[in-house]
Amino acid sequence: MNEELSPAGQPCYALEARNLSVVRGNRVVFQGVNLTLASGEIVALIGCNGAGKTTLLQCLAGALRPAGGEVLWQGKKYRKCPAARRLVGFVGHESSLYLALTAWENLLFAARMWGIDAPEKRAEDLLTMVGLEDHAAQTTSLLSRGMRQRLAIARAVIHDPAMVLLDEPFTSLDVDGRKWLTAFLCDLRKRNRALILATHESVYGSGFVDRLVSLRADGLREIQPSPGPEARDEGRGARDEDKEPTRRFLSPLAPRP
Amino acid sequence: MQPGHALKAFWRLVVKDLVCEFRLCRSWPGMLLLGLVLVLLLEMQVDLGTHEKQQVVSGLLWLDVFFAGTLMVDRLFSGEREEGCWRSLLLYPVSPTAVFFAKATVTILALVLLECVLVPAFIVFSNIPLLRRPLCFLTVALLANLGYASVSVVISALTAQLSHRSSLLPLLLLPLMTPVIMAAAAATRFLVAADLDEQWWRWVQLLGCFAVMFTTLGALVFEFVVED
Amino acid sequence: MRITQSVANTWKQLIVFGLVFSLLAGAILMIFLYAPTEATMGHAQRILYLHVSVTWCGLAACLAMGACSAAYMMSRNLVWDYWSQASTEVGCLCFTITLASGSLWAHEAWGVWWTWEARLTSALVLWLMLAGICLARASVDDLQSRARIGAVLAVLAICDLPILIMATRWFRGVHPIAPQMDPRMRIVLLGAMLGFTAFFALLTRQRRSQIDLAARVLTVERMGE
Repeated sequence: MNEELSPAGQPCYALEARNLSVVRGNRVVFQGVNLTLASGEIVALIGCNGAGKTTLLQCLAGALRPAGGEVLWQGKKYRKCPAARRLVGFVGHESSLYLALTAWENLLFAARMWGIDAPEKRAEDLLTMVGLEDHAAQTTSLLSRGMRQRLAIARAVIHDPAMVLLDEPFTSLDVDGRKWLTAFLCDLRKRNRALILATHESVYGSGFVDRLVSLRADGLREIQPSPGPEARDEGRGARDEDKEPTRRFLSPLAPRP
Repeated sequence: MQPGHALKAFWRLVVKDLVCEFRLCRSWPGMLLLGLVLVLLLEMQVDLGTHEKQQVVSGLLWLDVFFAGTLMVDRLFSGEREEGCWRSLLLYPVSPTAVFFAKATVTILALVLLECVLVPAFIVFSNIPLLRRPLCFLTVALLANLGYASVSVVISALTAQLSHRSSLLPLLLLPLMTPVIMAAAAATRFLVAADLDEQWWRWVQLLGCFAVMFTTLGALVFEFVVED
Repeated sequence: MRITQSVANTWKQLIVFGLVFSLLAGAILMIFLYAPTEATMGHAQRILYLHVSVTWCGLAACLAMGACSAAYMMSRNLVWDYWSQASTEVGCLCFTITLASGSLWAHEAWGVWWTWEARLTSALVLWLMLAGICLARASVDDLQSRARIGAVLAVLAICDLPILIMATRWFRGVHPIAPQMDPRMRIVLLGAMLGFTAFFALLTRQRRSQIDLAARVLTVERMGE
């Protein structure tokens, strides 16, 4: 699926932003943002409130039109190409779930909208992957915030994207939820997915985050991630299913040439 | 985008909206109730002879449809915006035009339901034979619903992210809907008369022009409306 | 250098203002001094020169509004939106004068202030649309949202223009289509159209500058917050 969109034999990043700028009204949110993201890499995006992290992620996901610059997915501008949208999965601030639908119906809707073959089976598999198989028939409005977050992540990866953009995914998650999400993201990385997560969390283990970038009005700055508790706790005491939650449901992507 | 995929996406969106509305019952019951209340209020005040009533009832009907319909229009996109569903909807490989037509179809279905309640109510309370020529009336209703749905989907999408959308929506909708309401009311007035005047067809043509123009323009500008 | 440029700009502005007001004053003088008195309606007929000129300006403003809105939709450049907003407001003003002068003339010609005739009704509908757009713009603070709302509404409102222009041909009514006129009356009418067009064009340009300035002030205020 992803191979057909990239020129054969040419190395390119999973995602590349060149001189990106966003203007709201007459106010420049940020400008001169350059970012590259390779397959199998996790980049954490930090910044103060109002720095434009959410706006930047929306630009990278193709949901927001930048005032200047360009975003390339696997080497080409694919913002308006329906086929290229399959490359990206996006988990925003909000859950993007229809509260009136059940958990299963939400995933089924997403699977059908993505044109996935056997959408019912896929929805069931994803529910199992995120540990919500017992809540499949429950209306989304009755799910807890943490469950909705898991469901939102399942919805975002249901079409097996090459890159996943997450906006403050750890918000409202308890300790177990954070451990689950950390293991999940690490597992996605093992399967060669590219990940960006915008967050306020400033302490990351070097085993979890590959790069840390800080967003300011005049662009991005690389910061060295310091070893933190996540690096030490990753995988400790977890079951096999928790260490590799996506093992049965997401195939590993071939590394880019 | 392949037409088959667009049609499937259109159908899924319509079904999703209908399921959500029937489970939550957020806007349609209120719309129906407001419509009925307006019928009662208007009929109580309009104390005229049969001939004079024939001149006003058609206008009252379409005004009632318009005002009651704004309750439903107000909720058209707010449900999508609530949990950020709107952004994810735009990220699917679905053309905004398919989304526009899906929302317009749901709006038309709601208006049809509303008219199924209001038309009998007007007939009962005013004794005016609104369905004297049912096929002609259906033509007028279809074109009026199409014009109303097209404009209201665009305006609702435009104002969905504003905090004061409830007050802004009727303000924006009413001037744009004036030609549609006027033409529908005039056409209906000729339908309830004993003899069908040829002017009826002129008003239907005008109504059709606006319906087609609004639908075409609405489909064209919708991508601009929803793009951030 | 800047002062020299500023002085040059001021002189340019004065010349333009002078020219426009000369044209307008000339038109008004022609209406009252040069135009012959009409045989049937007498002096009341002179309303025609104001009415037709201002209507023409209103239609031109609406077309400009539509064109600038379409340009904004394609380019996302707020400058086009400022022009669109200015054209909308001037168009609304023009149609206000059109409806008022038309009512006065209708009262003299037909004995009624208003009739639900095709052209009058479509003009009123267009005025309602323009007023609605102005009010909608005024109730939104964010520049981009305001521009988007204004652009979409303008494009939808343009639908009424063909109806307004062709109303007298499609729906037979009492509004005159193209009455026979004395050659001197034609000259005065052309002069009036030129004068009022220049005036409303200048008004549009000035209003656009105001809108631009207000947007810059708003931006600076927000940066300070």
